[in-house]
Amino acid sequence: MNNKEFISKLAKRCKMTPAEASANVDKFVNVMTDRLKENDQLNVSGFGVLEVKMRKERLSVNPKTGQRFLVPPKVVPSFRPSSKLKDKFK
Amino acid sequence: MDMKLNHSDLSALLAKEAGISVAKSELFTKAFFDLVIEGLESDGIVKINGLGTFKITDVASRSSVNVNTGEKFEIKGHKKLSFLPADTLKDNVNQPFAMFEPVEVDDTYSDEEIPDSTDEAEENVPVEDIEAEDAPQAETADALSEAADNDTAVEESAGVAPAAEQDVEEVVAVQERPVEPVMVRVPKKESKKPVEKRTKSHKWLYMTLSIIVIFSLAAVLYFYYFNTMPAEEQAAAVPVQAIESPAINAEEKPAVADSVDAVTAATVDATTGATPQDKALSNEEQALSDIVPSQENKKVYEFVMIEELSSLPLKDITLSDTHLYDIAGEWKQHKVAAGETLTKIALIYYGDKKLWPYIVKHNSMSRPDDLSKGMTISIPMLEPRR
Repeated sequence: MNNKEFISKLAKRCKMTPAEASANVDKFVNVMTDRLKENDQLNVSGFGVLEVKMRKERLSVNPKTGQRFLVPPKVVPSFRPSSKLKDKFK
Repeated sequence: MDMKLNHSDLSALLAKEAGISVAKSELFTKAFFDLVIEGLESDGIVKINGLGTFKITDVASRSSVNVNTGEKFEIKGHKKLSFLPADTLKDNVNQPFAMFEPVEVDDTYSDEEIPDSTDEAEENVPVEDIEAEDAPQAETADALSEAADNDTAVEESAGVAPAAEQDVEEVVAVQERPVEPVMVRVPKKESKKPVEKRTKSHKWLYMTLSIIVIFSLAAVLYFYYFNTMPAEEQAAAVPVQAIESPAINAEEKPAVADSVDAVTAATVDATTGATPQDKALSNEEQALSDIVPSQENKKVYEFVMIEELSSLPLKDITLSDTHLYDIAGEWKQHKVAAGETLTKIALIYYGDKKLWPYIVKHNSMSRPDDLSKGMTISIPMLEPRR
């Protein structure tokens, strides 16, 4: 299901026009992004947890050339499905 | 920051953002997540612009060993829900670290030297921490002057004074960044310096210079803190009297002043033709060290003692440490404000959060955690037990 299908289905379900649904999805995604930026954890029961994780810096080696790089630390978004959802797709 | 938000919190935020009613936004978010699950069931993949892709991936079967019996068994392949964040989300979340890029590590270092250098760099950090908490002592002053000597010697032999100045600025800049300066500092310098100049003496130069800068910063912060501390807090700190005699402190004070002088001297030495910033810094230090002994020095000493007490290693401090005091009647009344805890109140009145059990005892509270907003509690006057 791509973004377009997702929005049209969501519009039907919420009885909105696709344009409205699209705007709301964008706003919702913005809200979640802002929260994640603040290191917040988003718990959605029955769905899972959206959170950010810290990745430490590390040394990596290009196996072909043998060059070594220091990869800087970074923060990445991550999703942990709830156990209910996990079992569903297992 | 670091909060846990649930579904309804998210809905409330969306309602605010989109200007719709909370009920409507709750329905919308519920439909949103339900639809993701349904999409996964039907297609196995759901793509949402700006957020990312939810996808069901296969996990191949693999063999494993039962840790108890040592028997081999096979973990069967299964399906797993995975999430691939969109680039915009990744970039947004990674904003604090956006300025870093992978740096090639030079091969002139052997494998043995790399961990060495990082170890040395890491040693700097604990020193900084300790310095920031404790009063600078005579020993550190000695160590500093020694370090300064080493430093100048190295400089002369290497003949790279201008480079040293640059390095100081660089180190300062890197240290002021809030996030994990140590790990960044090493590679950055490596990448900027030409290979020929990287010698052992350079390494020591970095080390000594960074130590000096750290010490001077710690000293400035230390004196700045005491000068700007609200008078109220200082007064509050007085009732718990120091156990040791002030004479010891009086001896300590010149040493502190010495150490500051040594630090300023060292920084001025190290950065010949220093930047205006540096000069301002050292001026400030001198001014501060002039002010401190003349003004309110007694109060400052007492506070120093209390702080030393509270900076004992955690494992050494038990509740028995707090039995050094006797309750000598009531001192003040305190109205509990929102968000205040007993430890906070103890910190306000005594400058030491570990003294809260006295407040509990004095108020004969049955449950220490039973503190509510607007409650009035009395703060006992404490006297050291002879």
